[in-house]
Amino acid sequence: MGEEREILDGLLLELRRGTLVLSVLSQMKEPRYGYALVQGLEDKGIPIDPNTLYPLLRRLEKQGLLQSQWETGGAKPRKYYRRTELGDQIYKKLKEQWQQMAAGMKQLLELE
Amino acid sequence: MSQRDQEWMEQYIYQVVRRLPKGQREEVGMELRELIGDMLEQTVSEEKSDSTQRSEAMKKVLAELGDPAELAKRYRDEADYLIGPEYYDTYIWFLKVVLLCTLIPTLAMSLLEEIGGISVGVEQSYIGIVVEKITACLVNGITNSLISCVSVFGVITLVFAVMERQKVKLERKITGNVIVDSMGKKEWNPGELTSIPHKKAIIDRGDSIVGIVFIVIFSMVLIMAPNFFSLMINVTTDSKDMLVIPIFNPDQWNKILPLFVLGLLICLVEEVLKLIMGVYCRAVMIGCIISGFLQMILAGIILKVLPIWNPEFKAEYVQQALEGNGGAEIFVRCITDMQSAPVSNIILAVVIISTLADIGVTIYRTLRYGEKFWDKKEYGY
Repeated sequence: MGEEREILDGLLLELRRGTLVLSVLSQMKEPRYGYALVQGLEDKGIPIDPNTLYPLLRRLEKQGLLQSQWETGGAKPRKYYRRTELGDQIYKKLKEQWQQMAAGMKQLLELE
Repeated sequence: MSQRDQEWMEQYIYQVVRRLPKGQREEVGMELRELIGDMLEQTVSEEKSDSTQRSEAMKKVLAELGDPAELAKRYRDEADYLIGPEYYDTYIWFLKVVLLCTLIPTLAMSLLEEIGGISVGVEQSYIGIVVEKITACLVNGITNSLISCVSVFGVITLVFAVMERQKVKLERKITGNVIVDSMGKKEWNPGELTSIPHKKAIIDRGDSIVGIVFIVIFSMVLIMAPNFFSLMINVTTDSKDMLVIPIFNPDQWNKILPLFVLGLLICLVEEVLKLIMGVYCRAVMIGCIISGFLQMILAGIILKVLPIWNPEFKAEYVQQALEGNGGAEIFVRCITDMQSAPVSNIILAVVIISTLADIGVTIYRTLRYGEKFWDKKEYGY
């Protein structure tokens, strides 16, 4: 029983991991800070752990898909991220791919 | 936030950032401060709670973020393995070959060292000596081979680990620059397939390994124990004294040894080339021809130009014969005959004929079976 659970958890993790970047990129047209993104995604039914999201944001920035800026005006300093031009291009392509894939998957699963 | 909570937060952050590269520490620290603050606000509101509730909330938030080491690992975003799947197969194969080529020569050398060091005491019984020697051999052999195998293992692993790191860096560079084109990535095309070798074109890896092992053993003996190539004669009947006469000219040894080692090195390169290519192909053929000619030239120099044989040999043999030691006489005479030119010529002829034969076989196999397309039934796997 425990083994079954383990297999399922592993597969779910993989499944979710694949959609992570796309979910994050989709929310980054306007500047947002990390925790607002956590909440925003959770509200839309895509929960993501902060300890996964924060390193991911940094990685995407390093790859040039996001850019960041510290806002020091508020009660505490906040780091805002938004998509770069490269990020926009990549996001568009990923989105197209996803839509194709989702349509294909839908057919597959309905036939089953 | 109470001072206690603040402390907890800073301790947590410290545990994360101390595991990160120096350049990232400050910024990640600030990010985490922001995040923990936000998560805390979400859990309890500052005004409507007492300090115990707020402390509980801090604990909850930190627990949710999880083990700082784990979080730091995610920030580092590095491969958490020493040698990845891409290099693993090559690594294991290489490890096997090199360990084998280390283990056997080391064992052999340890044995030779013990045998070479035999000194016979009068008071010891023969069986006692044998038992003592066998024990010494075993202890020596096991210790030496263990030490050398562990070092070789370490060196190979280090080299592959460095390769792995370099490759990781390389890949990152590529994804950084070419990411826009990632959808139109360079495709592998079937034209890159090499034809399946004919079974007669395949070089047996076992043969190459055996060859390498022997070359290494022979070189080690030459360098470390040249006395091994000596004739030992019992002067007296109770085998108390042994006369050791080197076969090779000791005065010229500093010239002979480098030539021998050079020759062996050329052989080694050829064997390694064969091992890597695994089939008869142009590279192996060219390597074999070059190596063969160098071998023949070296053999010529060693046998004909240098006074390779020990000139003292004959005199010493005569002296022994005069003292009436008849047991070794025939053997000694055989070896003494090597001094004469005909023996050198015969050895040289054997070397040249066998080298030419080897080159001939290699050329034939390469041209006949290598690098061609074959019928299915003749595939070599």
